[in-house]
Amino acid sequence: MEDQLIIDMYFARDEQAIACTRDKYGRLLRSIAYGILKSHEDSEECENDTYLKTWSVIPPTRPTAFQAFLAKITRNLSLDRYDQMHAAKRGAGEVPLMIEELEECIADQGATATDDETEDEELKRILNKFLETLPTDARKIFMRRYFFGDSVNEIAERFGFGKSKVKMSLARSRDSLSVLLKKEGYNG
Amino acid sequence: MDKKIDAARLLRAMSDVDDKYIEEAMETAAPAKRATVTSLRRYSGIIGIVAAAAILILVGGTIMNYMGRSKSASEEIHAHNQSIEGVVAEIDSATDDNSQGAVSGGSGECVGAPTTAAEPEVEDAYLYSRDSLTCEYMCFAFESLDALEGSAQFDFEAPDSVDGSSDCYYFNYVYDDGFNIAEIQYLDEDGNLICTIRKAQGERNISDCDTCYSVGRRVDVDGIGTVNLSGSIRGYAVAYWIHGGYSYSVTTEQLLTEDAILDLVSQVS
Repeated sequence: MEDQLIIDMYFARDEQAIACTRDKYGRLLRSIAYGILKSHEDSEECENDTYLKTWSVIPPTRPTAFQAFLAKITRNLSLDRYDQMHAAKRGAGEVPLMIEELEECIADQGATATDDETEDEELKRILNKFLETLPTDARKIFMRRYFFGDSVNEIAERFGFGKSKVKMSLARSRDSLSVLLKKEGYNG
Repeated sequence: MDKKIDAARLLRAMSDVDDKYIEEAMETAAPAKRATVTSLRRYSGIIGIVAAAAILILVGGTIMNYMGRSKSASEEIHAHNQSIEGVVAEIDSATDDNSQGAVSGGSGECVGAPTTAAEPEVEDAYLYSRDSLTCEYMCFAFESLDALEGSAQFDFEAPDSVDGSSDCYYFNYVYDDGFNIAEIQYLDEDGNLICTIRKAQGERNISDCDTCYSVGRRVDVDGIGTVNLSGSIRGYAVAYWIHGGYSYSVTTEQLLTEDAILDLVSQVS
């Protein structure tokens, strides 16, 4: 079923919209959640929470890219759940590794933005600008790693690249992001 | 502000990137390759120029910056491609940082990991990157095989090019325990990796891909000994062998016939 038809069903408050969403995107959403949480049970709960969240925001929201819209919701819900699960200690899985890798992009002095909302908006703008400058393959690799939480092996397998190419691409992209963050006055 | 919080926020902010990048990353290998071929045909001239200029700038600019050559040379390289001027400035800035920190850290600092790998004993090495995941080593790049041999401190014979390659990168991975791997990467004219050939002292498996493939085979080759091949039923992508106190590996991005990969093996010593 086409995305716009599913969205129309949400607007019509037809609960079948959730079943259609699950049929079409359930597997994708579970994989995103699992990439972050590494737990099938928690991933399924995040998937279900995604449908509830989607039901609550459509309408009035009419997403233009439904797949990406759902992916963002699942990712945020999964990160929220991850934070709850690991509030006091660093957990397992890809998240701590991703954070550790991204620390390379940020200098010791830390951010200079004045409040959370401003900083989030600023980061969003910088990230989009950064992604725009990356070659397509490098951008896909970066997104698979830091949006979807895929491991290096998973990325290599997905795109048919060698592991060394994936690692090298990620290292180069992080270096570029680090430079851009500095240039934007984001750190010392 | 706590650095850890910033990185976590950066990770969280990835949720807000443009939808087009999320959808693009959902593509799998097959459609991505088709799209690449189409765009390459259409823009092959431009891509060739930009790729050549970018490689020239990346390698030449960085080495010259490190060696303290004149600013005018760098500006001359920059003039080759006005369209990526902004990126060039960023790359130059990054490599400046890397050069300054070639021994003690550099811009790609690895939190909680050792940072004491020895600097290669040649002047034109620059810190290229660290291991993305474990930070166990530092990687230095060179502009020639001679320079790589000087850093690795052993001779390394390998083909000047492989089928389809138009450029080579030379790397030396230096581990904290002194172990080092010399690596040559062969790239096509679009900068895509075709083949990687490695050599190191000792008998470690340096192929970095010993569990990637399901099909394995051992072949006895005259003058070399046993060569371990890995791949699938359609061909082989990894060759690994030990000879004369050194370990070697050949890794290809495309599966090759047994004869083809052994032909590469025979050119390495």
